[in-house]
Amino acid sequence: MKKSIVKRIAIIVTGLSVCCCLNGCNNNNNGINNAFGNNSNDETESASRDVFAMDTYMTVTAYGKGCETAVDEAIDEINRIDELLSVSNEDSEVYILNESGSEIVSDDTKKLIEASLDLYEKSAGAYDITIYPLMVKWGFTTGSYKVPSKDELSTLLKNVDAGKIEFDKESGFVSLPNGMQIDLGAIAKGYTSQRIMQIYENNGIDCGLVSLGGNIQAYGKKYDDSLWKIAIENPKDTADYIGVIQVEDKAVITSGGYERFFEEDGEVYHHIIDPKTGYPAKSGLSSVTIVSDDGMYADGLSTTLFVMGKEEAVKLWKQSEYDFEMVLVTDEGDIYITDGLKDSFSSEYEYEVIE
Amino acid sequence: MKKIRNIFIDKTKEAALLLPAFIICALAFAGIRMNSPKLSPFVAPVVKADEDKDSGNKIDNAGDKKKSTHKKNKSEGEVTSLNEKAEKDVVARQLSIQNETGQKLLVDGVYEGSAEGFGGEIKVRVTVLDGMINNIEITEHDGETPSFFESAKAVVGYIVKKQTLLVDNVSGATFSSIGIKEAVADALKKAYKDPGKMVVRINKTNVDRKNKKVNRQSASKTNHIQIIRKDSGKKVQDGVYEGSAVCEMFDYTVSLKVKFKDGKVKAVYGLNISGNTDKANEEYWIKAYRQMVKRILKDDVNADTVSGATYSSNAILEAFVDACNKAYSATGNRQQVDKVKQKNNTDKKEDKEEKENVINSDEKIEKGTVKDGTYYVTTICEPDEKKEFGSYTFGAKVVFENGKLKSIYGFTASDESNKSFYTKAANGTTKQEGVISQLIKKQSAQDISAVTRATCSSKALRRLYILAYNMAIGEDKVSVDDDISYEEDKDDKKDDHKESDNPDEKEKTDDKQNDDVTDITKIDNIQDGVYQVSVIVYPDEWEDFEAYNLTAQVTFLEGRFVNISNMELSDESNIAYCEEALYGTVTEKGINEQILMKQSNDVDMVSSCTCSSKAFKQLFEEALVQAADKEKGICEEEEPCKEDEKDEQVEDNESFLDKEY
Repeated sequence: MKKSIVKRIAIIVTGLSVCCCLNGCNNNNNGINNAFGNNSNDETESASRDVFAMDTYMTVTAYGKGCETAVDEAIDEINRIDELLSVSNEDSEVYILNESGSEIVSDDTKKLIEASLDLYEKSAGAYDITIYPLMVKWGFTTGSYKVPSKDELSTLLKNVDAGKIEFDKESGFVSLPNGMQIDLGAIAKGYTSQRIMQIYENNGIDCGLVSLGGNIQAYGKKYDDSLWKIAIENPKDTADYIGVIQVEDKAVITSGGYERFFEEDGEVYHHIIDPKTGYPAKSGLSSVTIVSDDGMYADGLSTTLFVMGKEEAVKLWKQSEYDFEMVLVTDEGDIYITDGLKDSFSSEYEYEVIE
Repeated sequence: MKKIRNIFIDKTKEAALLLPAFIICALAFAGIRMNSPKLSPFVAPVVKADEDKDSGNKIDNAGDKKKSTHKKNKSEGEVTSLNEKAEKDVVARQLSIQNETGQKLLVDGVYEGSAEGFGGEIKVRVTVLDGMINNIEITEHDGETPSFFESAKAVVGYIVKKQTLLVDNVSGATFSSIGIKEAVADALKKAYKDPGKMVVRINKTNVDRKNKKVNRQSASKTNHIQIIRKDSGKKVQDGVYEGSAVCEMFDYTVSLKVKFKDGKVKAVYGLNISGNTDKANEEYWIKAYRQMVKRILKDDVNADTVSGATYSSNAILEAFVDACNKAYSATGNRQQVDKVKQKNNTDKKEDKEEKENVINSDEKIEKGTVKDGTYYVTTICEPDEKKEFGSYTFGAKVVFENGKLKSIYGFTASDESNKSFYTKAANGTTKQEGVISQLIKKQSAQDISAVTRATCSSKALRRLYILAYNMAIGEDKVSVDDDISYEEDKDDKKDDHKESDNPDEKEKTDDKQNDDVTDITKIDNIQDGVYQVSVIVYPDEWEDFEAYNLTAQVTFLEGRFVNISNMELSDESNIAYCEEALYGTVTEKGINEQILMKQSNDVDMVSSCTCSSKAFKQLFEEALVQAADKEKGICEEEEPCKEDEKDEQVEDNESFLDKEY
């Protein structure tokens, strides 16, 4: 079985039949640059920009009056958040926090840490922002991949426990124990797309779509008053998709072992590390797609559920701590969707509805 | 015996009132004998030994001694190498202060104590036998980083060997070292005979201990740094400011960035240490740094005070304050961030400096008239904790003209190997302004910054200025006329020597002697040189030691007393007392310094070692006799101890006794 999973989300915009390949990092031939904004309806004003930020390609598109301003502001916002959260930029809040151990963080970072700690708790540690040193060890941050030794991993795992983070919601004071480092990358894109929705609203545009390296979030309905049709790629076949979800005002975010992976001695290692083991998560899932109003939680949950596996994922969905729907694809290729997607999901494949 | 014990208790109580911060030490040290010959002059140790009449005790003591000497061979090497690197934290020096008590105040038994170490609780089991610390067992140290803890464990050996907590921390393992010491102190509290009083004293320190959770080190420190924002209604200019400070302890320059937003400190980051040659310190630094950043940020949320700091933390804090100052001054409407360093009472040098500062400024306001002339002044340049050099006498000519400092020149040093340092201090470097030019510009000893890598000389130079200034305004007992312009005096000197046989001169000195005060500057026939003198140190009526011979060299230079050095004792076990007497304690000036300042034998005894103090005074007088053409009878021996004084004490203690028992 092919374990290497390269995932794409295709966004099918009806009438334009533009397919966009949003492929994390190993993709240098995607058609993103002309994905949006061409051939747009004569009557509808539209604007689109591409930007490379947060280590991935991003596209923001807006339709309607004020779309130019909205898109400009969106790009500014992407850059601002990127500067705030980058683990490598020496002036970023996250960098400072990792270096000095304590910081009074800005509202943005505060919200992200709060959400991260919340997810950490609800997922019983499956989602943990403190695995950053492990990511570094594996080389996922630099691209010089290597499989760390067990000793190395167990040493690093000692400092992995988001429960030890000292955090004061009121003041924004954050303090990490010695040796601990965090990375908010796993929800940063979701948070950014959520922020852009706010910008779109403030600018009073008709509708818009953002794609931040595979994270899709739709603002309103499409300009022709139909729903946005977002395809979910088949993890087994990069040219195919497993189905299409029709949404409005939703984030559709997929996680799988697609963004970063490498092969060593015939074994494939992807970038979603299980905080419990220190190794790439092997939960039996090959992709998790979250559909939710909130981009930030959708982003965090997609990673979390990928680590947790189907059973736990369903459990969390049923607890309805968070308001979301999901599409799961197992290693065997089985497709599961949750109840709430029954009417919006369509596929040529067989799929099962979880109720 | 009971009386005596109460004297001790009373004394301790007084001291405790004055110096609440040091109490723990008192507890820990009460009744502990200090018999290490390897004490630094600053770390004046000394809990007087309880030379009890109990012969059994003596035998045990001897046994202990043997044991420790035996151990010494093995551990001495380690100790030295550790000491080289080891920093002496403020705690260690604090601990010395309460040592005047001598009675066996520890009850035999096994006591458990605990304290916070670096990563958690350290628990110890201390065995007290015959009133001495017999054994220390560390029972728990889970939170400590193993490698650090292994090094820190050496502290235990020192404590038992020296019978005091006055031992160096192990560098790179300071937190664990302090933790162990605190745990031992905690255990010894329980061993103390009079726990009722302890509680009172401990409570006082508890005030300081409030912040323990925030920083365990604050518990053992009284070194506060306060950041006072005047007119705090105004905001600083937001932005990132870089601040730096010199860590004098290690001679590193520490720089960091402070990020202000909405007028508040949001982050302290970008630590950079230049000049750090010891890689081993790095991890230690990072820990201190992270700890400090956390505290700064936390305290900034709730309070403006950060209390307690080690050297490295202090440097970090100073760099932080530096950055804050920049941020405040960036507002155009300058707001001052004052760093008030509440001088640690135990820090002798700082304490002294502060006093001088105060005197100096007061004098300027009150008197103001500086008599022009050239003043020859000397001081002792003492090494800092690193002990990179031995104490030496440092002299210079200070010229005042038109009421202002004009120049400082003609440096002399008893040890010329220090020349490069004091030259650097005086003239500065390409990067830093020398002390002389600073003094001339400011015409004040305040806010003089020391030249890096010559801090001790810088301080000494500053002291010279203060001494000369005091002379110039007629403050000092040394009369200005007598001392003006050494050059002129020199010509007269030969004549003086001839006159020395003059009976008038003799009478003059004799008169003085009747007053028990000999002003050396009134004696014109002092022959420069080094005089080796021996005196016998007699015990006072407490007889807590046996009489011994004290030999030392007294140096006179250019007609003035320079120092007493190279002391030798027939009974080395008393060295600690002698060092304390000669070099002083945290609160009291040593004989050396007193004579140097006053150029007279009118000196105060160092309280916990009056007998040795008297001996040194006598030694000085003897040497003076020799120097003044060996004329005998200038000074007479004093009684070993003042009876009156002691009677008073006993009385005091009797009244105290009535109240308490």
